[in-house]
Amino acid sequence: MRWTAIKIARAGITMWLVVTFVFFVLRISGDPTDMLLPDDIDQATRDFYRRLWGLDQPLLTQYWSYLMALVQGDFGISFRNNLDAYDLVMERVPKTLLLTGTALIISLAIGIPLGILAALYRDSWLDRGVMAVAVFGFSMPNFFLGILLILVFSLQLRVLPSSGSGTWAHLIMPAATLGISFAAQFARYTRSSMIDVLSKPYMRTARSKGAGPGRRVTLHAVPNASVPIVTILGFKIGELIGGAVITETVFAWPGIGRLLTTAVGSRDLAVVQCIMILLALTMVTANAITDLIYGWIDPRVRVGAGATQK
Amino acid sequence: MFHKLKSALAAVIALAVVAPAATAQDQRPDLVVAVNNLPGSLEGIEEMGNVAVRITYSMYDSLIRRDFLADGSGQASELVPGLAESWTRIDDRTLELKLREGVLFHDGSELTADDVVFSMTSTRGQGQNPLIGSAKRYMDTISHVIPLDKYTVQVVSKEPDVLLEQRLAGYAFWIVNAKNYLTVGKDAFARNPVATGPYKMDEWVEGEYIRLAAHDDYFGGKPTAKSVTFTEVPEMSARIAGLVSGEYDISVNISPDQIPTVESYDDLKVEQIVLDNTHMLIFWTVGPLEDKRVRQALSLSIDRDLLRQALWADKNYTPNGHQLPSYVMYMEDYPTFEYNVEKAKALLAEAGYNGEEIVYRFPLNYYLLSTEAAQAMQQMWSQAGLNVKLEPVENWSQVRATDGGHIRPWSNTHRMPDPLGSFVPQWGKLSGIQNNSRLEDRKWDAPAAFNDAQDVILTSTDWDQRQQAYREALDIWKDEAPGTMLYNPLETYAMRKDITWKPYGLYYMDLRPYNLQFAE
Repeated sequence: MRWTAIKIARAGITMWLVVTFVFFVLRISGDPTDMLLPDDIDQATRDFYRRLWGLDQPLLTQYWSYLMALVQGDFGISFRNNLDAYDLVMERVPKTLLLTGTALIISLAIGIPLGILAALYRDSWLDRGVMAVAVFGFSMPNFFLGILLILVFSLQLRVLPSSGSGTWAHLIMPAATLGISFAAQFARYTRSSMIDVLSKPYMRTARSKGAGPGRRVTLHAVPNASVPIVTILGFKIGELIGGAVITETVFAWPGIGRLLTTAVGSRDLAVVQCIMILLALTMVTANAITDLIYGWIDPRVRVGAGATQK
Repeated sequence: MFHKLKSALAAVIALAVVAPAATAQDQRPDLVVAVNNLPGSLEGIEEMGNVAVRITYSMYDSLIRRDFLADGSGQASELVPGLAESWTRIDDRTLELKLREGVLFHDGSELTADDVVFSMTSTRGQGQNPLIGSAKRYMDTISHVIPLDKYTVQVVSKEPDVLLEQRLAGYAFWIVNAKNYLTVGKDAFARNPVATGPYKMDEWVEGEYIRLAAHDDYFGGKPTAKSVTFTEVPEMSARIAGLVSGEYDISVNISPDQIPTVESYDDLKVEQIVLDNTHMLIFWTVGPLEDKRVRQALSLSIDRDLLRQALWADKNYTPNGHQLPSYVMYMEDYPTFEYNVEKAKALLAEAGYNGEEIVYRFPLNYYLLSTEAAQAMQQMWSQAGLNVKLEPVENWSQVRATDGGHIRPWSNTHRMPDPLGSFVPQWGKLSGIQNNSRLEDRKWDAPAAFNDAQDVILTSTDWDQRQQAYREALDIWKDEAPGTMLYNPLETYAMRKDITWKPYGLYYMDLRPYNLQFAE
């Protein structure tokens, strides 16, 4: 109980810090009326909007009223279109999850088997080939890969749509862009973790018991090698919501990342805050889930946690 | 979480399956326009930036219409009937307009004088307690509107106004359906406006697209497209790619260096227009620039011809004075901005300028090609001995900061073919330049003669007298040099070759039947 309470309190403080930090950074770095009104507009109109949006109040007063509204579950109204910030953000969540979820599945399906193969055939041409591709995939920036795909499949071959989210065809290139860099990371971690496990004494024991190579890999090596992979997976799940900013912009995918860039650009505080809170929540939740999975795949962690709880 | 994902997946599948079906009867095409951004509001007088007007121009009509195509250029300023079929001057403050009969709104109701009265009264956009701020500067000159009968109105301005007809044809004077507006309220109306234009709201998915459907009862004839979808595509490369792959029919806001790429495809073309907008520089009257000779030298040492050749392939122009050829009072003989390095050097020597640092602070990625222009001008200025330091910043707040700089970029849109559409509001005695509340020390102390001349332009009803005053004001402005003009930028649209459509000098996209045709 106490352990849970501390966790929640800590999460609460984290959220408060995020909210406060974002509030001041956004307010100090730019005036929303500068971003949202035409540059040749007169001062009277500018003042009208400053009053309308409460920007004429002292910064601390604005902060306090924002915080109080937030505590009551009111995320505020977007300056840009007078819509509820929470609704605006929630409308985008399914699109982002569709993109990042697909990318994650692609990356697991490609990255882990390749990593395992590379480890099993260590130092062979297969290993070197996989690792070369992984380094390439990992170090290539998303915007570059995205534009490269657009060049080939939209401009040259004219087979895939370059932007939007209307059909399945729209999903292919952005999901591939995002999935390839994820896959490269999974392949590298899987390989090193597998190599580590394969040299452990219990693998020799399994072999001496007469277990076949397939059985040794699936039942003995992979489960033990999966702990670090789960850690990476935890990070990736945390990034599911906010990790696709660049990819979403390149492919005009209408998700959270795109909303965040436009909202920051126009200093649309309510929307930015709402997204930041959502991101922080996802991170906190993903970490908690990772902790749980550790316990499930590695009994030693479970025992350890039980011991400290006492 | 997974529930949401599942329902999203289901929705995508459903869309993919259903979309290609159900298009049998109506043979007209669906037009898709890729735009850099979508507006937050479609209430015609709330958002008036380029992002909004390119859409709202298809939804609303004005009483009098500016015919941009009168000479085929897209920049003409001839006035032709809109919702009003004719108009007559009663006196210098009053214009009587006869409305077309049988004009139908998107909801099927008929346009009457009451809608006109409501569209221009304070409960909508101006007056003492305005619902909407940014329309004020356009509508402020109107006193009231008198409905004489169902189809006749008199529009009365507060002061004698020779430009009343031009105003009614310009920004902000869009006619809305009064009953609908009052029933649903401003915010709901802004999401789903009911007006008389050729296209009406069909679907708006925030951050994705705004789809308009043809208003088949449009008084100007049946629209040529069945629907028009404005799709948000922030990246220019993606707007071009989507055009090539056939997803879009027209892509806006293409930079000039991409024209060869677009033209390399057999089925694509570009349409270009020089905008009724001028890229400017403001010279704050502080530091070394307190001396007007230094400001004159800054202007004299800019080689505008070279800038246009290098950046705009020489397809645009620099206005001769703060005016455009489409102005009613256009002065063709007015001298162009001079380029004379020797004269600049002489002025600097006279002023005792000794290489003191001059800071040019500008926002990145705001005006097309402004960074490139800044770098080129820095070199040009140094030829004359001016030591200008470039300070690119992220946003306008930083440009406007109190400590900031001696020069900043600006743009002036010519919203009416008259100095009252740009020169007077931007540089006159009520302008931000002369009344800088935030940067008190930088406001321009214009000579009294300048403001007197502006008063004449504003109040006189005698065109010769107005033109004389305009010329005087332009002379003083050039001599005082609180700023200067660089050039009018070029706007480039990339589009399918089998579509016939012409862009205008303002950011309106006119998709009315006379300006949008599809080849068979």
